[in-house]
Amino acid sequence: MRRAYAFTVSAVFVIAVVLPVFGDTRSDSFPLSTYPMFSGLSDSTTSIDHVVAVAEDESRTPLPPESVANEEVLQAMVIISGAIHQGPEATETLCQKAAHWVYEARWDNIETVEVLTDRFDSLDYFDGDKTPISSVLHARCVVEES
Amino acid sequence: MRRVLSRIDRFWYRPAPATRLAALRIIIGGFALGYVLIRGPYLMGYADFDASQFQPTGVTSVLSGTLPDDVLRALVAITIVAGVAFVAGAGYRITGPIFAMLLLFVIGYRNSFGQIFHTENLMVIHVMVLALAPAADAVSLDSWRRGEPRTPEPDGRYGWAIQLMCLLTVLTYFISGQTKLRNAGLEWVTTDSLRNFIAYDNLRKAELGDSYSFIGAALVTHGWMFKPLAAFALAVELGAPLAMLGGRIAKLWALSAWLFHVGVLVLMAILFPYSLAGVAFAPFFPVEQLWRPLKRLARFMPELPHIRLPPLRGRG
Repeated sequence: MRRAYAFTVSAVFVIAVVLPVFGDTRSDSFPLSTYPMFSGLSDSTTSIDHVVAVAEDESRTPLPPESVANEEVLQAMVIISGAIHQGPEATETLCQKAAHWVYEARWDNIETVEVLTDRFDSLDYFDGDKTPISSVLHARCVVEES
Repeated sequence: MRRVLSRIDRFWYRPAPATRLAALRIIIGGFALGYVLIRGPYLMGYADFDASQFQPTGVTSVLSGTLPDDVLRALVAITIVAGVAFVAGAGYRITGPIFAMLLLFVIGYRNSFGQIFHTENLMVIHVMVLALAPAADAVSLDSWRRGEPRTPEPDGRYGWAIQLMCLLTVLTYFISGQTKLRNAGLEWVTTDSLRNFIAYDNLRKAELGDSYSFIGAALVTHGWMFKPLAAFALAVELGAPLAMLGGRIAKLWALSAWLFHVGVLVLMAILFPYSLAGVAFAPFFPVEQLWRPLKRLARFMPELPHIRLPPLRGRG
């Protein structure tokens, strides 16, 4: 009886863990997964949806994940991308939330917050050229008491 | 056929000390409990997320919407209480599965807002296996309450769960490698993909205002080193099944897999705490020997209340 239990439980776990392999390799779930992250081919250019704080002197500082989500950078990324995907209204709401965060955090000399999609060459970026190849502005909001 | 089945039985239902399974309960359960304790506020923070962002995954698919704030907070708190019982081996037949299910649910909930993280998968799977195994037959409040005079003899009923945890660890890595082969083929090694991924991952962290790996960022300009690293990573993943041979091969693989995670941390600032702490690989080792120093210490402290530790058995 104990053996039958052991083999049954073992079989269920092994089948459950292996099962995702027979589906789409990009599919993902928790805790069963094909672990698709970083599994494809990639080139050095990439687009990033992000929120930046723009100072009086027009210098730009990316806002931390906490400004739109929580401490998880990937969580923040999907929330920003999700808002952009949903359209101008959701992007504006996200922008306002980030601007409010900047106000509450008392960042000095920040005038506006922008939600952007910037395209970079990641190898050039770490070689010193941090200028985006292209940039799309989705929303801009003023940092003020709300 | 009968011979094959007999071999499978001997391999899978291999006798192991009850203390080894108990030690794994304490180590793995203790790690999971510590995780929920430390990450408690963060896990509860998902109560503040907008319902429109909710994308249930796995076990949370039973939900039609987000949980009320207080329910989520209460679930995290109950998970901690159940975790204490799990580690202590108290009412284990009930508290074990309760802790495993709550852990699955609470961490699953965290993964239900558009981003699935992969850092806790193995921890949750290991806890689920332990919850369904007789992992509290030794070194537990249950065994102490029953007044059992001595630790049970090594038995197959303690061995299968250890074998299963080893196999699930191995499968997790193998599937990860197999996905790379299916999505990219050997070009994942022969092209600049890994280098580009490392540059991309650090770039997105920098542009999303998070800390990133300065080492990874500095090294991506040296392209020559990433193909060997990609080959190493894929070899660790696809070579994982060799660890089921046990002995030195298993230990060598565990060390390689640990180094792989060190590399991921150094180059990408991605922390896999369960693997980096070595806990993910604990089922490959005779972990019951870890309390040998405690046993020695107890011998030299006769004035303290009598501490009964299980006898040391088994060597890997």
